[in-house]
Amino acid sequence: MNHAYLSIRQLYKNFGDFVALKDISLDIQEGEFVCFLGPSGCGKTTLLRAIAGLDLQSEGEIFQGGKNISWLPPEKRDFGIVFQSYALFPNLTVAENIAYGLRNQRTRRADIKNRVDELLNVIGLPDSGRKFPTQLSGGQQQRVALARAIATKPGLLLLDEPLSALDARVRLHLRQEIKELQRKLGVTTIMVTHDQEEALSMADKIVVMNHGVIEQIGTPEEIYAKPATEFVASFVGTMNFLPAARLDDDQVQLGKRTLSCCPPLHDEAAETTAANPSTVIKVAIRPEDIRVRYNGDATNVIPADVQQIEFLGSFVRTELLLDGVNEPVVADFSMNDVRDLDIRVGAQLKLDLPENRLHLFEH
Amino acid sequence: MAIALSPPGFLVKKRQRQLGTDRALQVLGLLIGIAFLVVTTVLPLYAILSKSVENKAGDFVGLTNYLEYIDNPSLINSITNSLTIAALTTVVVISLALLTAYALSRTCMPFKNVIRVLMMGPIFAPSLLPAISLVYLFGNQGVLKSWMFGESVYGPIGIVISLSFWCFPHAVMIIMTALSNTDARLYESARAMRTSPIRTFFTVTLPSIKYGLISAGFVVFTLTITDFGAPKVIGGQYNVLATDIYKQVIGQQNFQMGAVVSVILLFPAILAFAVDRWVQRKQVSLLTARAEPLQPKPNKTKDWTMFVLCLPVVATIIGVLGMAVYASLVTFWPYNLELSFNNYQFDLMDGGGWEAYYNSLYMAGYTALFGTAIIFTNAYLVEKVKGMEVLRTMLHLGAMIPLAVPGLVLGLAYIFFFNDPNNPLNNLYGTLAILVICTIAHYYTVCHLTAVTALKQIDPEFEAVSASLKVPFYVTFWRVTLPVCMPALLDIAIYLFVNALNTVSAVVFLYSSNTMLASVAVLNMDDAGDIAPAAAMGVLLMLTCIGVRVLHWGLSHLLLNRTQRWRNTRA
Repeated sequence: MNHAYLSIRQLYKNFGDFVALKDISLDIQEGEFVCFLGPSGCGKTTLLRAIAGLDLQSEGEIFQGGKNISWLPPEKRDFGIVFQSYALFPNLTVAENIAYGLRNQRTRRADIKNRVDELLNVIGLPDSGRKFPTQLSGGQQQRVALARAIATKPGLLLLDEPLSALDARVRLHLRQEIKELQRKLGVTTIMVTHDQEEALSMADKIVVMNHGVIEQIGTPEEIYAKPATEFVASFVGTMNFLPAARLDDDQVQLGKRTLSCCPPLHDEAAETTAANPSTVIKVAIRPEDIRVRYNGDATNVIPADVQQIEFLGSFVRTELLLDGVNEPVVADFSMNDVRDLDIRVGAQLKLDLPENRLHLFEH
Repeated sequence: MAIALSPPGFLVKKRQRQLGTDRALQVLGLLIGIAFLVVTTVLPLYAILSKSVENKAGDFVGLTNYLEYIDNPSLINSITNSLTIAALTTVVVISLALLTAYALSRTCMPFKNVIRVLMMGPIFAPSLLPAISLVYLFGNQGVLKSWMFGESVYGPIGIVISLSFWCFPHAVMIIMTALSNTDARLYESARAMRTSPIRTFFTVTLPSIKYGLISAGFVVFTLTITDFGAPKVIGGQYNVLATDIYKQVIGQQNFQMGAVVSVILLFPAILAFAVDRWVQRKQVSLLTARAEPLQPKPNKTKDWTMFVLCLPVVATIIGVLGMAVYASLVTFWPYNLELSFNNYQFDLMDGGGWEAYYNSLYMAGYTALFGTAIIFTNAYLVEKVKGMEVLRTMLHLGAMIPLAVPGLVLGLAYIFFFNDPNNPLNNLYGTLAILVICTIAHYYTVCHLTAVTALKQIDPEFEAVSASLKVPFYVTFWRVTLPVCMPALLDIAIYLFVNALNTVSAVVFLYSSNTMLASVAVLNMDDAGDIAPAAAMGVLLMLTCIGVRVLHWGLSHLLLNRTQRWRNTRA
């Protein structure tokens, strides 16, 4: 057995013929903030509910703190949970909601009151104890739900899309608060989200899922900079995909041009292509990685025509046609670049596609 | 505290799932709920089915009884009669109810609120009361006998009028609900495209209430074909299926033939049940969450036209109910028209006296109390327990059966089942308890659906949250689910109470000399020719129901103010 706090081994979940989770194995360290990221229906919530014991897996095992909890009912596990819908008890006051789990632990009345007051301070609602949930805003209600979940000091905090029902502004604010609170308490936390920005900004570790399997596990930086699969590359951030042919270890053919790229390639692509040169592959690059200003370090310079420009505030998103490539390419340029180089529709640019920013994927 | 419990095979997941205390309690609750429905509905129905294929000695004789039934022209005639009555009543009620419901929900006609309350009047009286009232109005010594143009009110005419009267509020309520489920923007679009009001009615209004109309039609059809009170009082020589059962069992002690007629009476009810389920399924997607409610705008011509059209309906309701009250107060119809309370001295007449009234109050009270508790708990288990699909589906389907069983059939089924000397529950026979149980079973489905609807509106994650906080589910049930559902609970209780007080059909076979009921007393006094005291008892029942309704209204307000404070406090 390894030293992970939460360890999931070969988890499967079937709904009739539909496979919701397939061979999920995952380790989470104590105190880590992990995000399950993926589109709707990818199995992330199913996995969370299996960890909570709310919907049991079909096969596979889960260990928490070294204890096999695979088949325990939820009330025998150690976790707190927050739902997208808040799920606050509408007929109880905010204080009664927070005290809900404490009352059951035969805690003394005075201690309960102290703990509730303490938590109300933590979530920044010291005077709202006697209000009913419906008297609070969405963001405030979700804070109360969070306080209720951590009141009993669980070893594991589960957040099921906690911010999805909130306004954009509130969401941004609460994102930081949750992260800060988690760091302070040091509680191992799993958050399910379909919002990549949320995952990137909050998580220590992201688990990207699709169609019931894990596509990649890694830090936010790894996920963004080194996506392991085409799905991860397209789901997290924006990515241009262009059909290309593999020439040898460090060269690909894009249209009529030859681009240099960095070996070693992604394992997946490398294995097949090394054995079979000039295989059709996809070469990928993020819009912000395309350079319009460079010194002598340019690696793949290609002339391009600007087809369209979309103003997005702090930067500009352009659609370009690279010389000798049929598919349009999207590139982001700062406002400084736009002003200094006079980038407009119809302008001719010489762009650099840096070799260390190119990703190669199997076609 | 792990409970060692080996669950039935279909409950075991691939691996040994560990049953917690919560889980064990839920399984136990589900099993008890299913057992309750099996004992109170399924087994009695089985008893009546098997009785219909037995001879008097209790031997299996196949379809002999049914063949005998078909050979008997007077019995076969009843099928035609029942269908005629039901069809006529349905047409009359649906047309009048559509008119009234439309006026109430789509116009600003004068005295709308008064009319809305008046429309509900008939629901508070047993179906016997309008029939008795008709006897006073159009009977042999009726005040308006000349209006009949020589026709007799005793027969199909009387039955159709009394049943139409009695079913009217049910239809109005269903159609009004359908009319309120509409999107105002559809009407705004129609007007923007300059559609004429007539065309709007046929292209927007009618399609949107189509299922409501079908549903109301079948409710009325079922109520009519299974009702027994009105044809008994005013039917004269005109036999229908429901009175046939009564005559076979009470008159001729021919239980086998009673069972045969009961099985036949099950068919239209099952058909109506099936159609209703189908309609409910169709209904779902008609209304989107973003629909805008339609607020009727004042329109003098339209409002006054609808008011005038509604007047005959209003006059009929006031006339029929008023006549019943008046007749109950007249000393000796039609010779001494002085008003007195003589007819209310029930202890001086046959039929059970005031004792019957008090029995009815107890019976209705217990039915409301225990019925609400049992039905709501079962609905909770169906709706809120995770997994255990098989048990939950069984309980839910079981809860649907009573809707398809006419009261008279259920009552007769209870005789066969509970009066069997081999039944360990035999000692229930003749007690108040069996009346309560039968009434709960009789009205189970509507209450179950009300409870399920209320429970569906609660956040589905409450149970998950309380499990994560290590709070047993029954604590959350008590502290959160029950208080949140209080309005629905009160609705169920009042529904059970009113129906228990007025029902005749289910209990007419089951009362004993110690458990005489007021509604049955109305029937018996009318049978014995004490028609004025029968009217008096009927009026008493109606006033009691109205009183309880007012009490319920006050109580709801009080409760809502105290326990539902959170409802009105929006940020």
